[in-house]
Amino acid sequence: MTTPPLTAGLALKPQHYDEALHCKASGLWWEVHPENYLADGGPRLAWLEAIRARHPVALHGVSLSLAAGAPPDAAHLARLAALARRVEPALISEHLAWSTWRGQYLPDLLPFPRTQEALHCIASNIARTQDVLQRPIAIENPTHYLHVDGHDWAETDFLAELVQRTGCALLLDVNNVFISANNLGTSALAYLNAFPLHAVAEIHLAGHHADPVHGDALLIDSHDAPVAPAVWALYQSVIERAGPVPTLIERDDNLPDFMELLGERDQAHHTLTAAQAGEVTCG
Amino acid sequence: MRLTDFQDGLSAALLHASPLPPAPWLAALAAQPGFAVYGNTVLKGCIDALQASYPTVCQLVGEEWFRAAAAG
Repeated sequence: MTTPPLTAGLALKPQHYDEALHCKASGLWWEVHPENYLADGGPRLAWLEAIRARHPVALHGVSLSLAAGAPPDAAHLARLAALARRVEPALISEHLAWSTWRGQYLPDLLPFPRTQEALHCIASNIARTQDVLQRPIAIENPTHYLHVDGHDWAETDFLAELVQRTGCALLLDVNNVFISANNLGTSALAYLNAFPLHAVAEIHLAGHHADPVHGDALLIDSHDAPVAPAVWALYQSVIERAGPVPTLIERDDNLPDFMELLGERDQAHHTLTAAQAGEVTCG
Repeated sequence: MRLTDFQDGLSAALLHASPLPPAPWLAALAAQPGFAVYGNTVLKGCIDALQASYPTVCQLVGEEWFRAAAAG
């Protein structure tokens, strides 16, 4: 019997370790930020390994700083590779953003002008990362809060070019698409229509909230609320076009009960199993 | 603009590290409402890291004071 395909997963939070360990939902997988597990031992790593013994795990990095004019930190990359050897993740992903510069860490995912020079730098950084990890990684579309001047490339074309040049995959964050379109005054549907869906290895869904000062004109990618109905609708349209793609519900703050999160995860699971059934019928 | 110049400018602005007035392109970014989102996230991340690294100090002085002092 073959392993059932991954359907919908959840971000693994320390508060939910025990429930995560014993959950038997079909197609379930877990995602963690590798930065929280870059140790040689200790209780956290033991928890992760216990969960990995029962479920697939994906590593979603937030600090490789791939969109920088310098290569990713070699020591950090070596620690990430060691963790990957240990947990054999189903997928490793990172962001089209930067967070480290000249030895300083800025804990955020920062924007940049998508120039030809940036494309060369980032493709080289991705290639270096993939060489060390000895596998392709998936690159996530970032959330935008600012109009940055000087772009030579549309983001969707930029991502497609990175796929072409490095063989990387993509992680499509539908919540980021929704927020960025809202904040920049562009169309989420047009962005998704232009997105290279063939390269998407994973989808992220999360909740957001309106800025306390500027209201709905400025949405914040806060991961502290259930996925918004408009984001679910965009997700549905993506799955109809792309077919079933492993999907993760991200939740980092204002954490609800485990069962409530599992309910959201089940909604994505049902969308994916319906798409799988559709594929079989059509195929 | 070169990527390294953009990073030098934005990181200095977010960390309030430059004594000079910002270049016009940077002033245009800083004037947008969304600029504060990055500034707030960077500051919160730094304070969270400090608090996680010094739990005893935080317990002694209280979380509210600890975070206010860290932000200052």
